[in-house]
Amino acid sequence: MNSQPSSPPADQPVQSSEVETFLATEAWLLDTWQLDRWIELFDPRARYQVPSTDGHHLDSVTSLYLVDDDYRQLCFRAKRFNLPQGHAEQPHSMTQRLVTNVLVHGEQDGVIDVTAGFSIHRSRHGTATQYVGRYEHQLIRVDGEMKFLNRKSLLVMPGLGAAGTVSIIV
Amino acid sequence: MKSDRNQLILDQPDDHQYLVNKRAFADADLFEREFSRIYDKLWLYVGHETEIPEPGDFVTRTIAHRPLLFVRGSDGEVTVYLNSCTHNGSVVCREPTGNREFFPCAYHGWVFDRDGALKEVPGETAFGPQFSKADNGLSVVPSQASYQGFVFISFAERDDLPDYLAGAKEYLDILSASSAAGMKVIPGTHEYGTRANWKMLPVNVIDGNHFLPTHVTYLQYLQERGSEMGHPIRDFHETVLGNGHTVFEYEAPWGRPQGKPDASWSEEVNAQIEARRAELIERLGPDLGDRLARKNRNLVIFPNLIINDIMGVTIRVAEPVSVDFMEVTAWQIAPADDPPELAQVRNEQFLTFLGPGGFATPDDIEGMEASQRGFATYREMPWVNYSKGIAAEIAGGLTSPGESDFMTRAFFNAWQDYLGITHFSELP
Repeated sequence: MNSQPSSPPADQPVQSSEVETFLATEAWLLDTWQLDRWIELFDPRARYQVPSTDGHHLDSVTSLYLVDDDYRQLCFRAKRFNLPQGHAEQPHSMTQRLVTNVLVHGEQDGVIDVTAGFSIHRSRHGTATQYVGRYEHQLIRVDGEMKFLNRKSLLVMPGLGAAGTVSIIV
Repeated sequence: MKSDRNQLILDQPDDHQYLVNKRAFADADLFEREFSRIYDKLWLYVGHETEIPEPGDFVTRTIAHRPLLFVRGSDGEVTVYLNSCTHNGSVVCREPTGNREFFPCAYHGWVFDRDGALKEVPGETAFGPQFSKADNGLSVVPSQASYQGFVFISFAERDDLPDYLAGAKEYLDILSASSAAGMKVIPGTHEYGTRANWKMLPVNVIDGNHFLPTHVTYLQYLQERGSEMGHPIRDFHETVLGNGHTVFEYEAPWGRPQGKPDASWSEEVNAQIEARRAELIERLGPDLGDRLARKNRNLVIFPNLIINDIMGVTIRVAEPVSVDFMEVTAWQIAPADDPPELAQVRNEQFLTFLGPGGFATPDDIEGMEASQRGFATYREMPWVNYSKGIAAEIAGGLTSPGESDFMTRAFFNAWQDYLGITHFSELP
């Protein structure tokens, strides 16, 4: 962890190490179910989106997504995880997320485009399932803190299959 | 109570009892019987004509374990083929969706066109003088018929789709009339597995009893966003439609982009929804127009088609993979002319309740999967209790929402009739 990569090119003010830390922190907050802290990673203008597995680049208005939350919906989603009658995640799944291949594609008007690969291992009711996919996030800085403006998760799977639902955050 | 655990159903109205054997959800031999008597014989839903609007548009799909190719031909007609090369049997079309003039088989190079005709055979002369391309086109499924754009097939020879749909026809008519511009299936498909027997999905839709215990967090969501929550469910009618089909119809607290405003939506959006309601009433008359705008309909067409015209309109199909696992495919069908601001509200309505990422469907799935695990106790405690409402019905009383299982009983009675047995000992 001590050796730093060579300094970033002048046209890339965001260091990928900063983005990697942000994404690893997010994964840790989700895996440890610290949802109150997790929701603080979002700007109030943010969306959380999961396109359908057969339509990664379809438009969210004219096609059917799996998840297309604005901030209000997202806050309820986070809260629902701890409601006793949020049955789908009561008790909570155990998850371990691996987030890797982090790339910063550039920054325009303060919006940073990031991609990364993920693998989420989930255990629930004695059964292990897996989600595999790619993130296409848009990040911004608010008062020096990195925040999600768009958290988009593309599931690279032939359908959810045995994983069944996206009742956890993917 | 006389209990014979060899029976599929224990129907004892004198004791106010209607019990279904848990083994019906867990026995692999019974599952084989269901396949041969239900999935190999009845009408099955394949897809909607609006999924493939142009000649050459196709989707591939698995129904009752068979790979199928659903394609619109040069003449504009849709046809369902068995997706298997007439040469050595390989799946000919290996793509989920697209548009093609020709379907070349990758394995030995036989080429079919979008009308199913065989166009090219490498080394054709070696098959001899009796070989004819005209005899070797793609095979169609034994029976195919459409109703209001909903395309059904059967692996048996039959020509009775309208009779089979029976009372369900009216509900397909109503759905198709709910937009002057027509209804179309929009792109993007929910595909997910459920670790439960296929019957659990229709039974979950038929059974209004689960709504409050299972979906209380969804009602909390509505309350927090500012919807009017005065009367949870009202104007409730349940109807057995024949041949195992059922529907229940009701007004609920949530708004409907189809024609019922919601206090949580903007004035601009609600004005558009009011205009939609006015259009329905003008075009269809005050009774039907109001009914389409205001009321929700949960429709089950036995065995594999479920249409929920609720917060949004979803078409769902359950594909039985094994006795304890099904693959579910779900689409959204919507007015063909929704402006973006209305489409956005419609999607919010749809996705906050429906689908594997909603605030409700995952709880249904949790309930179905927990039931499936619990049904492994069938040897010691065989019965699922669907007796609610029998006592009141015998007394001639009316039942209120959530107070009767009579539609579930109609579903299982039809299921047992199709199977043609009443005892597990009759299985080979």
